Parts: sequence; structure tokens; C-alpha cells
Amino acid sequence: MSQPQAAVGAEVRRVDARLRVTGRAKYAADNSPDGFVHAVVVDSGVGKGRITGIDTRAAVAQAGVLKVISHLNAPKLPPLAGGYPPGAPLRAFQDDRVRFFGQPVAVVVATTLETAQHAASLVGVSYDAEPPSTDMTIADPAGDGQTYARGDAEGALGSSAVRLEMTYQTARNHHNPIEPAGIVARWDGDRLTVWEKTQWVQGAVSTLAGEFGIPPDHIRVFSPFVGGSFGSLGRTWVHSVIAAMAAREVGRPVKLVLTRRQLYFGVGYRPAYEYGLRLGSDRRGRLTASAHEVRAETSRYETYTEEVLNPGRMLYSTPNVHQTYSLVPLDVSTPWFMRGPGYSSGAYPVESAIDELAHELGMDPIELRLRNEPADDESSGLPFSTRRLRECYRAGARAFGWDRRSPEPRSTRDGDWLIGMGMAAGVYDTLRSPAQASVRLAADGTALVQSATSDMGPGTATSMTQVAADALGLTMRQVTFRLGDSSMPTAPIHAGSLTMASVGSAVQDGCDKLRKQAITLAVNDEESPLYGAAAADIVVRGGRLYVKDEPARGETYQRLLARNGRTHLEVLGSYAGPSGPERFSLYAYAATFAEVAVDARLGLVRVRRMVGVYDAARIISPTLADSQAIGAMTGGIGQALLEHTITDHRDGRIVNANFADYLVPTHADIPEMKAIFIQGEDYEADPIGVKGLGEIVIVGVAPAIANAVFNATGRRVRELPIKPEVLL
Amino acid sequence: MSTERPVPVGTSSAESESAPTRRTFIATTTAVGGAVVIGGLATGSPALATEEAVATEAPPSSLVSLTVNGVRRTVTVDNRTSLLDLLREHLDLTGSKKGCNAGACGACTVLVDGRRVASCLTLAVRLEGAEVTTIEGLEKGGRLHPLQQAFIDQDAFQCGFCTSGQIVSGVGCIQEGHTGSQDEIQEWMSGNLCRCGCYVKIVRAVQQAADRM
Amino acid sequence: MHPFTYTKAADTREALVAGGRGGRYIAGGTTLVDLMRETVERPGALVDISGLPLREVTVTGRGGLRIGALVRMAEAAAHPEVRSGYPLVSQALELSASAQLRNMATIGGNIMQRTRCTYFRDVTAVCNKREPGSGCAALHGFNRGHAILGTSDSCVATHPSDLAVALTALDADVHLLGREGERTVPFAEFLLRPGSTPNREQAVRPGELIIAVEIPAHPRPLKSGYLKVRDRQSYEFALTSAAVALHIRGGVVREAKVAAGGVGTVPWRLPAVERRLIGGRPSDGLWAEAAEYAADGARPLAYNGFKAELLKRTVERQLRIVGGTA
Repeated sequence: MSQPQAAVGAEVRRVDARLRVTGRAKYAADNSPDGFVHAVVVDSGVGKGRITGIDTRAAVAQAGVLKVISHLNAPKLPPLAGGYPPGAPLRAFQDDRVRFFGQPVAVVVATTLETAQHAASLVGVSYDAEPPSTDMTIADPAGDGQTYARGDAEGALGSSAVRLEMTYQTARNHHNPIEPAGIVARWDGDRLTVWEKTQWVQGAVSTLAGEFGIPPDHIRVFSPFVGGSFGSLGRTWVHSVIAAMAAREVGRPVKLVLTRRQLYFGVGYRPAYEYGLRLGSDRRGRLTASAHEVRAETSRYETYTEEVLNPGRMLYSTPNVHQTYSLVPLDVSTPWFMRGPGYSSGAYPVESAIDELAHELGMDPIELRLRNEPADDESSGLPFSTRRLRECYRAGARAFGWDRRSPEPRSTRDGDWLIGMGMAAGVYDTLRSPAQASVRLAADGTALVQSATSDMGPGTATSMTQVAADALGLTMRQVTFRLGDSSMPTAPIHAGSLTMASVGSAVQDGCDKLRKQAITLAVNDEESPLYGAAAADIVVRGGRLYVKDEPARGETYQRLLARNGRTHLEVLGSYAGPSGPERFSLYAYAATFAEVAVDARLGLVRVRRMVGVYDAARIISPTLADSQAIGAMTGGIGQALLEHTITDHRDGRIVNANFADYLVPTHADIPEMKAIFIQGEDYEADPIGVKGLGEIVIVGVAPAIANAVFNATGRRVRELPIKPEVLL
Repeated sequence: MSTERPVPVGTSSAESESAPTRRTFIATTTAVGGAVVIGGLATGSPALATEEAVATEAPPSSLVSLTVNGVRRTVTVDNRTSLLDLLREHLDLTGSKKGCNAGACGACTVLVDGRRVASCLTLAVRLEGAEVTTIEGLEKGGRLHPLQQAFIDQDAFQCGFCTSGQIVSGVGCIQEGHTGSQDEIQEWMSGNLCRCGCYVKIVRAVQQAADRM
Repeated sequence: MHPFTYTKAADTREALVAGGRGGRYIAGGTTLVDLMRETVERPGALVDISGLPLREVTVTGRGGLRIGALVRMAEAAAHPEVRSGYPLVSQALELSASAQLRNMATIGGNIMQRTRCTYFRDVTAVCNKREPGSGCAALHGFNRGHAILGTSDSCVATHPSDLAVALTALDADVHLLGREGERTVPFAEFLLRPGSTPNREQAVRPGELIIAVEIPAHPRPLKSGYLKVRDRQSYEFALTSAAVALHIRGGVVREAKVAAGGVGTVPWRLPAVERRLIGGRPSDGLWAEAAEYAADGARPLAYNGFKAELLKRTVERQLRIVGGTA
């Protein structure tokens, strides 16, 4: 018998809301174990070369300085193998090489933060510096790029009635969560406890175990609250190893928090892209061919790639496609995934180009997209599990008032402002990974559900509580969900929009099992009113088990457990993840609509309103989903109009490594927004029917805005962010 | 470079062997660790680690008496200590957050003598006699401040890290009377960055609380 | 942050004594503490002047407005005399920084604030302003935000204050107090162009204290306003800005005061624009013609060439907003 759905789909308040609005939620750096001391990292002031000397005399002369650690005195760490991304990860002070500007070259440990900071500024580092190569536009790619092809793109382009050729550029972006990366590390003998900002407590265990050569079960990582991350702490970076090393060296717990500036060198970034795109179509707008030549930056010591080519490969029916993906290794830190990785960068050129083609053909951009809707996934040959993109277009056009858009650019004015409307599609693949969750029902009828997952903002604890409450037949108040402790049941990284699908399915499985266990107990218990009833006929609601068609016949979990002398019931739920090759093409979809105003003389672009429509299949928590979507549209406005990490190629320095110069949207930049979710489930994806949400909501936001800017001004800007100077 | 047949990039078939991709990394994180160990732990060379030095005298410090959330506190502070670090590292009031330590994000906002300020740019040594209110001081007798409640009602936060600063700043904004319109709230709250992008709902929460206060 | 001693001055005399011994005055601290944390500033002694009686806004006997150096930005902006008489000043203040910083920063500190040049703020880069003779990293570096007016080969850093642009337009004076007594410096001479000594930024003598800024009376009523152009809607330093004050009578511009921000190493008065305006009849044509002179003498760098055109358009827009179209 399937359970009644009460909590799932309901508008709820976050279960941990009170902790977060009172300041009582403890984030990594809020932990201060007894006797802890502070560590501050010293960064390289050159972009490439070798360290020739480190003068620590002035630093160690400061009262309260316990130690300065660098490659000159750091303990040797065991070698690593394997791992991701391919390459040789940056280690903590294991050699004299400087790979990028801002690389940690030493760490100062002191009894107070003020002293550690001051002493760090006194460490003198001398270098044998070389000019770094940091400019992707002039550096050479590494060998031949990856290639994808179907049909004969060159031939088809040659014979296409309509041909467009464009080059788009996207800037490097930094995640810039408001919480900086931080860690508190404490050794108890050979056992390590850390409170760390991470999207993956068990990944942190694994990395630290490898770095220090100790068994994983000697390490425990806590990260119950994560102050935003957007991918950046999906990896355990070298600063965590440095903190743990420092704690061991000084024999005291160490707190290390990166400065805002250090975050620009220390925790990855969305790489910059150069995306050459040629499109061919017939006069009626049927795509005949596309050719994509992509260049992306990576570091010289690791090879980072992401799925930037996928939107151009499967979003539209295109018989002939050719794609190359060239990586340009630079003397920079390694890029890393940032919200909507690959897809968000790839959707911008593809969705801009479709808009350009629509304009060229004199066709409505939605109509053009509809004409190129594929019957199945042409990149894999697989049928779509669900693809409700047409519905997204329809619902979005209606909610946004797309019919009021003038197709003629520069034709709508409001005083000094030119008004434009634009839209774009988005796609993101539905990832799932094995996960487990423990479920324990106590004699008092409350349940505790645990999994070593994380919550960087979407409200994991709340949505998991919703799933658990329905499956157990409890109210949300009767369920507690805990996360962020590596000793809990296995969970995958909290990234790639896979948490709900993966951990949610494990929670559902565990709660189903536990409920069935209780039902079995009841129907076999002669003293139970449910004795002898068919287990399949029994549902649980509000903690009471009863026969569905005979509601008066039943009893509560409490009575059942008490009578049977059980202190609790406990099971381990699990989700095995996808097994074998996929039988379906699994993606979430989006259509984003934007209205912008462009000051005709000053070049300023302001977004006036946005509507996002999503096919993410089942929505567990509408309130949380709405917040995620609005948040991603906000982030997308930054990507489209503001965000640009700027490197001074003379020495590899990032020149805007702060919140005054790296611009993210403020309150005043964000208009009213509306998110709409297309109803439906996708049980091919996972047992709870979701397709993931956190990424898809940002994919397509930037091109929707760029297309609106074109509609407003008639200027096609093929570069993100769109700055006032290009519109003057 | 081959163009003869589809060579998938980042789809499942080509991922199992050779170089892992981001997709396989993400989707197999329960199976593949962040790192794999070879060999045991080597110990450091202690010869280089023994720096002998004569420490300089302790940095200048001062005795300060101030009131924090209604409680009188007398503390000796290093002159360099910010109000934010005093709260977080010495008074165990970690609700105020350090986002940028440069007055550019608003996460550290507290009220000093009733005015909202950036506690990261406020030297604690200067606060003799001051009255400081932090996020921890807004709740009275177990009852949330109307703006705290409004943040819950409007789902005006996600990760919660900027939230303390947003709420304290919002209290300041309401007290200053800058809540006449949505535009006015947006402008007067612009010193508080929210990277999860909850601005729309934060403005609603400030409106809700302003209406009820 | 380097260690420092701290004293709070009980009165002006005490402050001047401590300042005379090399103590660094601190008022709001929003610039100084930030730069101390970056180790750009390394004072050994801080003299807290926040207790000094310099917090009055008064209408002078001559009909001008005197704003005490320790009046906070938020207080000055909201002051009825400022709001009604000098909306340009209110607007410039309220378009600056954030509500939090405006609650901390003072008028005296505002005009003492230092450039946002990224290389100046980064002690690992060369900078003639920070370390005379070390070179200017911005000249051939990333200089989108940098100045196009008043630059030298030593320094191209933009003056960041909006208030200073308004004060420049309004011919304000700065009142200073030293151990030799009080003196008055016209605002136009208070902020120094970099020349070959970009480390010298203000015409303040060692130990001198700013006690007030004074906006002189304007016999003819001025309509005024401040426009700030920036990438994002709020909380950003200006790409360009324009302070405009006009007296229009009988359909003719009788008096014009125009200054620009975001473009100069100091706030930039635009006399050529003013000359073109005076005697003209308000019209879109007049505003456009006058604004054409706004970028005279501009020396663009690799990334900020757009500022010349943007400045003209900013000035044109603000002339229209203030002057209307008759």
C-alpha cells in the first residue's frame, strides 16, 4: 500500500529555520575546541617559479607565534595515486615549486588570530620567479582536444540555406559563497577530528586519510551547516590539509579560515570559455548542422573538464554535429565545478545562437525551438525518460506575457530605457549515486533519520524530513533528520543536483522498510487490533497504523512498540544508484524568460522581471524549490551582467579578489521573479521520481538575459558579462 | 583527433576506464574517494622545524567595558581586535559572521548604540561604554523578533550564513524608516550580500516585519 | 594588522598633541581599519578623535553650511539643512557605500579616504602611492576603474569619494586645525593630483586635524543633484558620476557648477562645460553641447577608454535631470 502524501508537496517552513535566524547554527569556523589556536596561510606573491628562501625570523619573534610551517620544515606526506581530477594535486608544502599566484607557501600558527595574521604578513619569501602563462586566449592548448561527431557537419554547413558563425566568450567566475572556506582540526593521538566547511564529509575523510596516510576510520568530519558553496567545497582543498598538519605539528587544535582574497586562489572557479559556434538551418528553421569549437582553461597540474558540450549535442534535433573541446593548461589554480557546471557555460552560446538564428529567419525564438525538438536523445540514441520542455515554453510564455514582446529590436522604450524580452532553454543531466540512510523509530513514536549528506542551502534536512514523514506516516515534527557527520551512513557528494534523488531515495527506502517492519509486527501480534489484517492494506498516518478502508481498526507506533517490549525499530535504507548502462536519456529542463531595461545612452542593463519554468519532475518541497529557483536566477543575473574574475597576466595576480571589485548582485539589482514547476514525476530516474533541481535552475538564465539585451538594443553581445562599455 | 564516429565526452560509456570526468566523479562519489593512499606516513624532518627566537613583548592591549545584548562585559582586548572577532572568538557569540572582513558583505552587521554597523571594521578597543546588539540579542524570552519570524515565514534564507547580518541590518533599516517601498528597502539593504539569492524574499520579510512593528 | 597603541583624545588639544607626535587620527575607521588589515597602513599609534566636539551641522553667519568633521555620513545626508539646501550633497552621500558604512564613516574621514586602486591595496604589487618610487602597476595593468583625468606616469588611481565630487562642485572649503591654529583650504586645493608624488594626497600638514567642511552660501538658489553610474544598481564605486548645480532664471542658465567623479585622480571640476552652459537656454541641445567638453584632456588607458564617452553622457544626463528641458 502506498502511503498518503502529506508532507511531500506541502508548503513548509525549514526544520532548522530557528537555528539559522537566531545565529545558533554552528558553521565550521564557529567551533572553538578547548585550547585551539589560529593558523593563517601565507600566499605566493609570484605566479610561477621556485621558492628560494623563507625568512621567518620576524614572524616567530612575535609573542604568541607557535610555529611557521613551510616546505622547509613540513612533514613529508605519503604519495597519492588516483583521485579526481586527473593530474598531480597540490600538496601541503611538499616542494619548493610555485604553480600559481596565491598558492600557499607557508602557514603561521599563533595563539591569537591577530598575532597569526600579523606574523603571516612578516614572513619573507624569496622566489626565483618565471613569467606565468595565464592568458587562455594566447596560450596553446594541450594536444588534440576531445572530439564528438555525428553526421557530416562540415558538408551540411556548406549546403545549408542559412549559416551563422559566431564566437562567444564567458568570463571566469568565482563561487563566492558568503561563508569563507574554513576548518578546525584537532588530533587526539593518531585520530583526527575536523569541523570543516565541505559539501562532502566522507570525501573529506577520504582525502585527509590519503594525505596523512592514516586509516579513514581514524578521521571524523563534521559539517552540519554550510554557508553556501555552489560547488566550491565539493573538494577538500590543500588548506584543510595545512590546518590538520599544523594542528599535529603544534599539538593543539587549529582553526584556519581563508580570507576572501584567498578564496579566489584556493577553492576553484568556473573556468573561462571561448566557444566558436557555426549553425546551419533550412529556411523553415530546421537545424541541419552545428559545429562547436570550445577552448577552456585548466591548471598545468590538473586536468579539469566539464560537460560544456552537452547542450549543443542533445538539446535540439541536429543531424550533423561536430564538436571539439580543447584544454589550455595555464599557471593557475585548478578550476572546479560551479553551479550548473558545463551546462550553464554551454547553454549561453547555444541559446544565444538559437536566438540569433530566430532573428535571422524572422521567426519567434520559441517557435524555432519547438521546430527543433528532438524525438529522442540524438547524442545517445536513447529515449527521453521525461522531457517536458514544450510545456515549459508554453507555461513560461503565458506567465511572462511573451506575446507582448516586439520581435523588432530597439522598438520598445520607457523614457531613457530600452526594453527587451528574451528567453532561453536549459538542460542539466540527472545524476544519481549510491546512498544510505539509517532510520530509527523510538518508543515515543518519533523518528531519527541520518545520512552523511550535507546542506549548502537547498534545505536538505527539510526535504528529507518531508520524504521520511510521509513514508513513516508521521508528522514532520515527529521526524528529525541529521546530516553532516562522516560517521553517519554513506552519502555521496552534495553536488550535481543528486542529493534529493540519491539520499532521498535511500531515506524513502529506509522509512518504507521500517514502516513495513512495524506493520509486520502488528499483523502478527495477536494483541494488536491489526492482527491478521493484510499488511498491504495498512497505512500509517500521524503515527497510527490502520486498515485503509477501516480507519477505526488500528493503533499507534507507541502502543505497538511498548506492548512488544521494543525500545525502538531501526533499519538501514539504501539506494543502489543507477545499475548498468542507462536505458533512458535523463535530463531536467528549463525555460527562463527575462525582461531587461537598457539605458540607451549609459549602457546600463537592469533586469526588470524574470520567469523560470522547470521540468525537474517531482517537487518534494515547493517552498524550498521556489527559493532555489529564485536564487539561481539571481546568480544568473550576476553571471550575465556582473561577474568576471580578472587576472593580471603579467604575474598571474587576480586583481579583483574581493567583494568590492568582484561584483555579485545586491538587493537593488534583483527584481520580482517567478518560478513555475511543471507537474510530473520521473520514476525512470530514481525511486522518488525527481530529476534534481539545484543546477537546472541556473542553466539558461544568462542567455535569456543576453537575448533580452539584444531585443532591447539590437546589439548582440557575445561576451559575458555584458558590461556597460560594450553597449555605449 | 577522430571524426569518424561519435566519441562521447562526459557520457557514461567512455568514463569507466582512463581519466575520470566530472560526471563520473560526481556520480560515483560514494565509491571513489577523493584520494587513494600509497604507502604509510613519513615523519617530518625536525631539524628544519626548530626555529629559536626571542619573542617580542605582547602586543598593545586595552581594557574595555561594553554592553553586549544587555550584559555588561569587561574585557582586555588586543588593540587590533575587531568587534566581530571579539564577539566570535572571545565572547562565544558566533552568530555574527565573517564573510569578507572588509565591510563589503554585511554578514557581520550588528547594532552599536542602536545603529547598524560593520563589526569587522569596528575596533573593539573603541567601544568603551557602547551598547552592542547582535543577532543573539534579538530574541526576547524565547520569542523571536518579528523580523526573525518574518524570515522564517517568507523562507528568506537558504544557507543561513548571511542571515544574521541581513536580519540585524533589516532591524536597522526598519528603525531608520527606510521601508517605504520595495525599492527603498532594496537600496537600503544593499550592504548585505546574499549569494544564495534570497533578496526577493528578504525584502518581503522586511516589509512583513515593518508592517507589524 | 601591525600592533599599535591606542588613545582616545578627550579634547582637541589632546588630539593635536598626540597627532603631533605622529599618532594617526581615527574617526569612523572604515578606510583606515580596512587598509591596516591589508597592511597598506601601518600606524604605530592610533588617536581616537570620535569624542571631539565636531559633530554639529550649522548654518554659518554668512549663510553657508558648516558640517563638522565628525558628523557621520548618514547624519549629514539626513540633516534637514543639507537635504533642503544641498540635495546634491545628500544624494552623493546616500549613493556612497552601504547603510552600515554610512553609519560609521564621518565627513572628515570621507574626504580623507584613499583610492580603491587594486594595486594600491595589494602590498605584493608595486605602487608609487604606497611605496614611492616602486612603480605603478596600474598604468599597464588592469585599469578599467582608473582615472582618465589628472593622471601622471606615477599614478592613475581614481579618487573614490562621491561627497568630494559634490564639495568640488559647490566650491566648499576645508577647515583645518593645527598647533599653529586654524586655517582654511579651498576644497579644490585640498585634494592633490598625483604628479610625481602620489603618496601626498591631501593638503594636510602633519598632525593637523580636519574640523569641518563648509559649503559657502550661494546667493542665487541652485537646483542640484548627483548622478552615479555604475555596473550594479547599488553599493559600488562610480564608473562615472556627475554633480550638477544650476541657477536658471528667465529661461537662461545664470550659474553652473559641474564636477565629475570616477574619472579623475581627484574630483574633476568641468569649467569648460560650465562656460558653455552659462547664458544658454535649457534644452537637450544645450546639455549635449556642453557635455561634449566634459572629457577634455582625458588620457585613456588600456581598459578605461570608455569612460571618456560615458562621462560626457553622464554629464549630459544629469544636466537634463537638474536643468530640465524648457
